[in-house]
Amino acid sequence: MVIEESEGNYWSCVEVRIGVEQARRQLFAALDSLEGTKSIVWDKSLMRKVQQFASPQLFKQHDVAEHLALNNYKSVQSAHVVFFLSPTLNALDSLCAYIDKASNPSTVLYQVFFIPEAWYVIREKLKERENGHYWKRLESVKEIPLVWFPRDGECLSLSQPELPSRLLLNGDWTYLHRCAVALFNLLQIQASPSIPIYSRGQWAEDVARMTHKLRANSEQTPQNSSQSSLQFNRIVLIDRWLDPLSPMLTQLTYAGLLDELFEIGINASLSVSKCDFEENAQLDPFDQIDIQLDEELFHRLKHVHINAMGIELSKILQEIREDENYDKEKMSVAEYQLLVKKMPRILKRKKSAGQHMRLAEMSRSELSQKLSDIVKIQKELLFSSNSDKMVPFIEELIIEDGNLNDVLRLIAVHSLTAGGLKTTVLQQYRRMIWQSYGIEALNKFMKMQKMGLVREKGGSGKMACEHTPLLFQQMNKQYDLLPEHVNEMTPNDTAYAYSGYASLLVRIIEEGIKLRWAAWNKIGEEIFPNDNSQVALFVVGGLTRAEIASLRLLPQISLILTSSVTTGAKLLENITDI
Amino acid sequence: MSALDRDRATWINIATPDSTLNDAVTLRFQRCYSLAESIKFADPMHFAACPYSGPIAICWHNVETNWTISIQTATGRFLKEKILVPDMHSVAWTRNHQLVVLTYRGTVMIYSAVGDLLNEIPFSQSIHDVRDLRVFETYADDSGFAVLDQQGRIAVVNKVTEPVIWTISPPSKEQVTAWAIIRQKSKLTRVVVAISEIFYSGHQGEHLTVADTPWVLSNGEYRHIEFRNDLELVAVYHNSGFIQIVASELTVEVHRITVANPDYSVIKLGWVGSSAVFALRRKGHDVRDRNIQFYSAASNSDGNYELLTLQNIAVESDGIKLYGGTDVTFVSIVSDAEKAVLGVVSQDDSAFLYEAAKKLDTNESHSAYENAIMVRDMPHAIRQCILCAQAAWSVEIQKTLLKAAKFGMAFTSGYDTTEFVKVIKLLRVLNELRSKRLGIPISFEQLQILGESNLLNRLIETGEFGEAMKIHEWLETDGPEGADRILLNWVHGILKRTAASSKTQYDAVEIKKLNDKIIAKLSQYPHVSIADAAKWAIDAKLPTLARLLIKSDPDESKQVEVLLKLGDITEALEKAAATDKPQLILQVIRHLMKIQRRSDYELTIRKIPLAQCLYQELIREDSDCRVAGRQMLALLEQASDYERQMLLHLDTASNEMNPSERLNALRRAKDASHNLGDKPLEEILSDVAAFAPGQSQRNEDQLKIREAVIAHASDPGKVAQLKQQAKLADKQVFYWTIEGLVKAGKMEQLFDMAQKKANYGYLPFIKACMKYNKIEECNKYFAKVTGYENLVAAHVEMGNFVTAAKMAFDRRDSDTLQNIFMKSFKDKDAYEKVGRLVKSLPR
Repeated sequence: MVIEESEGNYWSCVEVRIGVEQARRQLFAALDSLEGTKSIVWDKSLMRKVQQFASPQLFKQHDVAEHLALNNYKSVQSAHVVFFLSPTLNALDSLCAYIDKASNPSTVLYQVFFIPEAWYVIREKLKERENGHYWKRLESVKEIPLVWFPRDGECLSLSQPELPSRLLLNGDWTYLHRCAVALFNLLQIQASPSIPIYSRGQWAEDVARMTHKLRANSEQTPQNSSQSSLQFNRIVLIDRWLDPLSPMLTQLTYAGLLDELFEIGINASLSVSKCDFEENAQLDPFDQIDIQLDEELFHRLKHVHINAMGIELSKILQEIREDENYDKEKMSVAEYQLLVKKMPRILKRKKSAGQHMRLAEMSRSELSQKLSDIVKIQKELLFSSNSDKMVPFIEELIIEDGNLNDVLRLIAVHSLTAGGLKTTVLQQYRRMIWQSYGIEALNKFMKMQKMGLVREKGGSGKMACEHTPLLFQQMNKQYDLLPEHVNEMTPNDTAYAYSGYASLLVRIIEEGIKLRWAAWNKIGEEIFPNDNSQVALFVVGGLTRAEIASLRLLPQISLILTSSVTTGAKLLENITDI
Repeated sequence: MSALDRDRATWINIATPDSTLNDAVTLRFQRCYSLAESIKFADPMHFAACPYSGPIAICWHNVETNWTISIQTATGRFLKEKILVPDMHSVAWTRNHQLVVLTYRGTVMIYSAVGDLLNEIPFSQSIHDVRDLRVFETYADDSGFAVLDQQGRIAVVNKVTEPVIWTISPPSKEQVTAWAIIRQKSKLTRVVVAISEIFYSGHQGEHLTVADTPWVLSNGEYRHIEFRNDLELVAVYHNSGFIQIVASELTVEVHRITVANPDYSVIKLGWVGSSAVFALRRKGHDVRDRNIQFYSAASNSDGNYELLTLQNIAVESDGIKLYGGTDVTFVSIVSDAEKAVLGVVSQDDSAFLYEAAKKLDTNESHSAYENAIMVRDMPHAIRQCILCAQAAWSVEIQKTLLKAAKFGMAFTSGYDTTEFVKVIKLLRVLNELRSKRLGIPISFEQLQILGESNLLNRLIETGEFGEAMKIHEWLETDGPEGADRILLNWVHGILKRTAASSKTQYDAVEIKKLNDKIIAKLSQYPHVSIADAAKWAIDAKLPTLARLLIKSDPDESKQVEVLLKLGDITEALEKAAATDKPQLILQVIRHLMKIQRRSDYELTIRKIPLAQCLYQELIREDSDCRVAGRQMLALLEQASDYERQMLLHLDTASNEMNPSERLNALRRAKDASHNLGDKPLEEILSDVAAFAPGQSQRNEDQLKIREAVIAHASDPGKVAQLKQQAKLADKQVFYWTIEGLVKAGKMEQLFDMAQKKANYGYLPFIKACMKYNKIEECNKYFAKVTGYENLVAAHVEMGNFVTAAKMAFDRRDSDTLQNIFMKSFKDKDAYEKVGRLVKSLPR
């Protein structure tokens, strides 16, 4: 995988960039199909997502005169009002309100674009509402399939964190269909779209089947060779739920830990308390500061284990010092010119190194004070887990009203590693969670049980998950999940990202590469049977940043796709209602 | 005699002015067909030929009032042998290939070209005693027609396809002697009526008013009014023996023609192209003594040409057709181009070119070049040759002329051949159409006006699907939709025949054969929709065939659509589900929701899990929360899905603000867990439900149990009550009481408690005091702490990292030391010191 600097200092792998370019093309093809000036009226929830593909300047180049929020009813001067809407009822209501309240002349054409798709029900509702009163006002209703969002420059995500919950709680298979459509969309820019699809796990197999069907039904249009295209040899799909355990554990790579502690947002930024960040107690404790991570140093540091951050940062500082270390007296004019050119980058790196030092320190501090006990218990459970009794630490954490997500994750780890909990233990956990956290928490806990994150050992099969259960002990033996010598400083094993625990998901993929995907479910025929590289990996159900770091150690994988970049907390927070 | 000579032999000058030949009006008599078998023209009879060389209708009566109509091609092939019409008055054809039949009772019947009755329009309310029928061309490929009655009333329909009747009548009660009706582009329909020597004119919606006609003749009456095809000029006949050519507004006379031999009366007047008129004349009532005279419409000369005839006449836009028993002749005006190229001793460039090209194929080919270089304006000569080829009937002459054009192109550079190619394509089509089998003697000009689409329609209507497809492919202009239309009509025809035959209709083998036949043909044209054919099969009441057909359509969404139309709901749903396309499944579900009762469609949907799930989603998004919740619950109840029922109730309990609703939801969740048969779950939910009312009584609905204990920590009675109600463990009560007391600042009570019972050690006391920042209180409890582990923990809680580290160091307890080191991170000084200890600890 080649990492290179593209326009706007965007550090990303070629494949991600091609994906982003495709989305950008689709976006502007939609806009350019309308002649004349445009005012974009935004569904706010989409703004951040779409802005990952195009800057305001770029919009301007495509005749976009202004950007308005959906509740801003001022009249516009443009020829078109272009609505960017997500396919939700809320967006629909706002659209109708806009049509009612905005005082645009009827010569201004209303064009609706649903992103990423015009969900049938929403479309029908729009048609039917007020006997088609609103529908008639609209010049066109189309969709722009912006589905793949770049993450950390090396992964494309569908940004659907609710997928596991929807599938396991509601059986809502449309999420799998969306995955298939998205994958198919990406295959459109693949040099040879008929490459084989390998899959493992129920979800993955369904997605593979649907993707193949879409592929078979579409007319094969030869790719425009002038456009950059993706060059994979095969696509590999795998279920997150083959390994629900890893996301429940604490990630220990820099990016993973930042995500656990501060949540990396959709725009590759995180916000931290300003007074903490600047170590200035005088500041308003509620003041937040946004830190952009989409820059060179973050991409260099993101996969570094938190314990190796010191070494890596000092290397960077050394580089900066060397860059700065020049002797003005002895420099030639040419050297001087070169220095002047390099200066902004040096300054930028200096500032950025400072930021990362502080972020690393803050993470380290949090890890030491709050997470260290949790990490310790997780480790203990991984090595030996007993389904017969409650873990005292967890018990105490519940009594002391520790963070609910921490508690739930630990119980999940307990249950998953022990292959289920005895009824009495499960009952005790349930009761205590209710007593400390209330019904909402109990509800969530029951749903975790339905999702298979918590299991009743030898139970009557009530409240059981419909997905194949994880057999941790067996998997541990088969895949060497807890290897002995793991080097956190110079990673030699994918287990470094969790300090000695290898994500089962990653291990299964490693094995797949080794055995050339033998025993995986396969659709389509190999085109390049002798070339084991250029794999596009799609993890259905979410992937943690620590796992991405691990996968980066596997050079055969050239692009990582996932339904969401997740953490244990995000998984739990996205547990949905029935 | 060469082909050319044969062709030229039929040229006849009807006006030869003194000047050059080129200004003369020359008629061309083109024998289109000589038929081996004579077309039966009886007498008395009616005759009508469809414009643009369509079929002819011949009507004769067998008994007094009963008429038989037969529809044939120009070559006598029957399209419909017999249509029986009692009481027929007259017939006429419309531009779009439909036969208009008027009865004496004032009913107009519209038949297709193959004799199917399409429509019946009663006129009896508007008129009585019909006298005459006229069809007129309108725009957009349609025709209108008008009926004149004995009282002079005229009832008009502007569009045959959408008949709306309106009437107009002249102000005078006197007998109408001549009339005409036209529709000019972007104008209303106009009626012109002559009563003796007074002309009336008016548009639809107006009254007929007297026209200003200074040119009218006297001592007689006007008998015929005929507009030229372009509607700019009109020919009128006065029974004193004159044909007058008048501008269409009736104000100016352009030319006057004297009709010789007044013994004959003119029974039909008409235009031949744009520069000649003809008059069909008869002596008395003797039908055998008839002749046609041709006159130039512009120059007064005696060069008119007379033709004895018994033939039937059909007027086309560019000439007339004469239908004899065994021959069909097309009379048209020879164009300038033809005269230039083919005229005797023509000195035109094109004639040289033509001569040169002719020599190429003979042993004089060496002189071809000499002829060619005599041509001064080569592009002009080429154009003339092409124009001439367009008008030629003989294929041989067409070829020679086109060869000449091609030869000429060799002498030019950059000649645009588009027109040339187009003409070749069209000629190929013309020659095909003119074949005896098809019998469509259409001219180049007529085909241009008729258009490809209409031509295809005509072929489709007469069942010439193969020809239609061939011509469509040759012309390459109508896009895939043309092929679609042809094929679907072909299918339509098959279906109609099948539906009509009760034998094949129910014969499974026959139906299968039919299906295979249709599929085999349609699959050659991948863009043609099999689903459309299937829909037609449904319309033709052939559901079995439709079911077979639709299986072969590759488009799943269309399959589903047809299955829905067939009423095969379950199958449609299954098919949709098999596609894995949510949009399609939702479409079926929405359809079901519209046509079935709730209980019925829910039953159908429940059988297919993919659909069931989408239906649930539909419900979730469909209405407001409460309704959605109820509907969802109903679904889960139907499916006996107790797990999800319970979770749904718990969701309600979590989101509900109203305590009694919340309690209800909890109780229902408990019931669901009971039905689920999960005892422990039921137990815990019943505890939850039992605890809630007490909370409500205390007005503490929003408090969790832990918070409630903390809030009441200083009241042992309340705490005991809570403990009992919520089945709390001693440890929980212990911890929370401590926290509650510290929080409330009841330090004495806390100390008391520590004295009485400290089953879980003193660490909880220290933790609580540290949490609420009561550092000085900590020491009281720290003093009571015993044992290494507890002491280390207490030190760490109180921030004495170095002391704790030293204890661990002394015990060589590296794990604990490491742990302390981590915890001390924030205290930089301690972190450093502990770090040193960690490093110095021997491994």
